[in-house]
Amino acid sequence: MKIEIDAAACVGAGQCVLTAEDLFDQDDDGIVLLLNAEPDESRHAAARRSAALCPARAITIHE
Amino acid sequence: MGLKPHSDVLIVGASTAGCATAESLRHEGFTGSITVLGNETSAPYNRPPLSKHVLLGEWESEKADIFTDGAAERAGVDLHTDVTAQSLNAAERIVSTTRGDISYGRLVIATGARARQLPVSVDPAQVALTLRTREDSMALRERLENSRSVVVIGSGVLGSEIAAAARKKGCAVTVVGRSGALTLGSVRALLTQRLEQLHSQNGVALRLTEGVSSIAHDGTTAHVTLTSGNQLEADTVVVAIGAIPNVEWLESSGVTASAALECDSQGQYAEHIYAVGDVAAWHDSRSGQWLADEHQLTALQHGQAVARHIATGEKAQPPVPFFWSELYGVRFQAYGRFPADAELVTTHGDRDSGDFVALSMLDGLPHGVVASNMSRDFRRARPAVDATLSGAPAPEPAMVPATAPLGGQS
Repeated sequence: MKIEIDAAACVGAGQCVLTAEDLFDQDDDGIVLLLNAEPDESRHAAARRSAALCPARAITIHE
Repeated sequence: MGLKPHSDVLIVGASTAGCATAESLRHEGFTGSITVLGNETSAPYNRPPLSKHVLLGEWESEKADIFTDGAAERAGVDLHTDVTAQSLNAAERIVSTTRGDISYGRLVIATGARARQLPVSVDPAQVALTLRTREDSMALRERLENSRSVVVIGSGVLGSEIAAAARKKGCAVTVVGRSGALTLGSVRALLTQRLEQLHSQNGVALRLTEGVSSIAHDGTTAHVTLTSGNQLEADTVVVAIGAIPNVEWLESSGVTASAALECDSQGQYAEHIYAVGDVAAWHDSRSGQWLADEHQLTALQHGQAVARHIATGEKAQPPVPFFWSELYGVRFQAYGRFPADAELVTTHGDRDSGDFVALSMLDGLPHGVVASNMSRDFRRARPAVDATLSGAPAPEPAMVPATAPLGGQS
């Protein structure tokens, strides 16, 4: 799995951080920061959930 | 390509909620057939950018697409555009469409809502633009490029976003509203002072206590007559006064009210039938009310909850409203509930003049959090809101509908 983020689309909702704080963080403006682009299999479900819950659809999962 | 005569799950409406349902069904391991029907000609798209980046021309409209690059095909979702559902036979489980009948195992209604029109004389009708579809956004974008003056009718968040976009394009802008305040989604008029200040600082004229009695166009200029008798002239008039759920196609199956479909807390409208997104109002067991939140995240959560229910029978946590907007570079976010009798308490910053985080406090507990910028502090406040909402006792509904089954009463 590879996670891709689109910072230009991000609206800073923080859904991803609340869902998987080991994979995502927010910068001072609230914009998404990717902490781990290729998580272990144990975190794949959390990564998918983060992408599905992003209101700006700024997270893409490549599997 | 023709429609298959049967689908295990039939999703009517290629909206955010409809597409999220299809996607989530596969994530939940559903292996049956899934069909999504959309009545527009273009690919499915997300709505929030239409009044923001797309309207400003910062994004090509394709950036709002959902199911890009064959994603629907890869997920095994049969996606059809340019097909309109015309009627439902719930007893036989058949939907009739402009391209023939299709039977279903489960039906998911995701037909969304359309822009509400002004109930006054507008001559010619097309002089008053609305913003709901991608086509609307592209048409308004072009008009803003070629306008010097714009009148926006509607003092809600969409009106504010259109006004801000028009200012950015250099137009002179007037916002007309009746309620006396500017509202912002779930926080209603709580931030009107800050919003009025932002608009004024950016040169927007506000007329918030006047209705519109008519609009006419003389060939070059639109004339907006207000209830006060005052007249406004503009190159472009945009009406943003809310939306009406698209339920008319269900009339023959017994749905006669022009209102959102009232579902249970898992989105079930009737046996084998669910409703998601802007066309639906889900029952909220915390408040005992049916909630229609026309928000992007609610649409996504509706889709995910229904998908889980269909695929696994499990119940999802009820959605908590989340809402955001951006005006003149200032980002507003709101999460949770803002009851009328709650007190808004600022925890960070200054609510009337700049960035802030504020909690909606009721009985000593935070029911909602709203912020202007300060995204991280906003996020950190959310778990406390979740704790309140998940722990709140569920009051009984104020009134049990006469049509409710007797088994529902104690």
